[in-house]
Amino acid sequence: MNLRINPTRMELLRLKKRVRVAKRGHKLLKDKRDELMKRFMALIRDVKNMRLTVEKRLMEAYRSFLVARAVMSPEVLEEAIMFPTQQVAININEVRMMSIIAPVFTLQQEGAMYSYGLASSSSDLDAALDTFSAVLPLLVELASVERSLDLLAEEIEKTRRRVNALEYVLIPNLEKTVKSIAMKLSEQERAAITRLMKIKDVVRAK
Amino acid sequence: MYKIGLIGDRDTTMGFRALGLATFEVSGQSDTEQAVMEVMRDNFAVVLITERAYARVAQMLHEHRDRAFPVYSLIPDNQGSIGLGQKRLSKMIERAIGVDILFKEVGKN
Repeated sequence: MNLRINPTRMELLRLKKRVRVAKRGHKLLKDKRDELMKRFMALIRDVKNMRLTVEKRLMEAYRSFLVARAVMSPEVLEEAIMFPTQQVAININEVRMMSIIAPVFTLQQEGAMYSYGLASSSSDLDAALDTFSAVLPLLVELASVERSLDLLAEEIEKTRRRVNALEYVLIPNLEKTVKSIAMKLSEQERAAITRLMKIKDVVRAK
Repeated sequence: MYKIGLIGDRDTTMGFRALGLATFEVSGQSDTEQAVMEVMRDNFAVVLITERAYARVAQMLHEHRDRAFPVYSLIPDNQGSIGLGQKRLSKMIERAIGVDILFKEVGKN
């Protein structure tokens, strides 16, 4: 599709400049897309394995907790973990990567983990809480990298759209228009030359 | 300082509560929605949510996906994973690349 523009020399120059800019932008965006893709691919395999491991370890934690529940009476268990003495909090740091801002979480654990007396609780509960405590940092890390991955995926999608729009719509349109203007201008030139030659003939014949 | 939360059924929340996480014990539709509303109001950075609970509020979370925080992380509950966490990963891959290259390979091996 041609753009509707007057076929003048001014417009031709302007359009040629736009083509140059568009091509340069296209190249830059394409490089960006490739780089994003590279990072995404590097991350995705790790994240997938990480998720599998974390899920497995979490299941182990559930299992050990189940053992603890089995040996303790529900009331005693409830009482033991009713008021946790440990406090967890998260610090957020931002990491800029390409044009996305990815959060990096760091977990802070404070206070004693065992919030109960040793007399009434079983050692299985200790073991269960240990496993949960070991899984928690992994879960937090997983949340952070999955988030980065999600943001990366979104950015890749956006960049790819832009690259395609430039490559298949804007640049071809501009180039076609440039060509048609150039044709019209040279046609005008030829018309002017033939007119001059004709006039010359007429003048010479007199 | 931001908080870390957990939305899940009773068996899942119990273990984590002892660690000091803010846990929301949910079993049905409305209390799960309630819990999500609550974590959105407060300054939670990470919310662990069981896959079963996530399935109930997926629509609701989708509407709020522009928000930077909290980040929802899917975890299996004590009955095992129903594969939503993996599915979310493969959706990301599909979005970025166009086809799911990673989880299809698993089936082949």
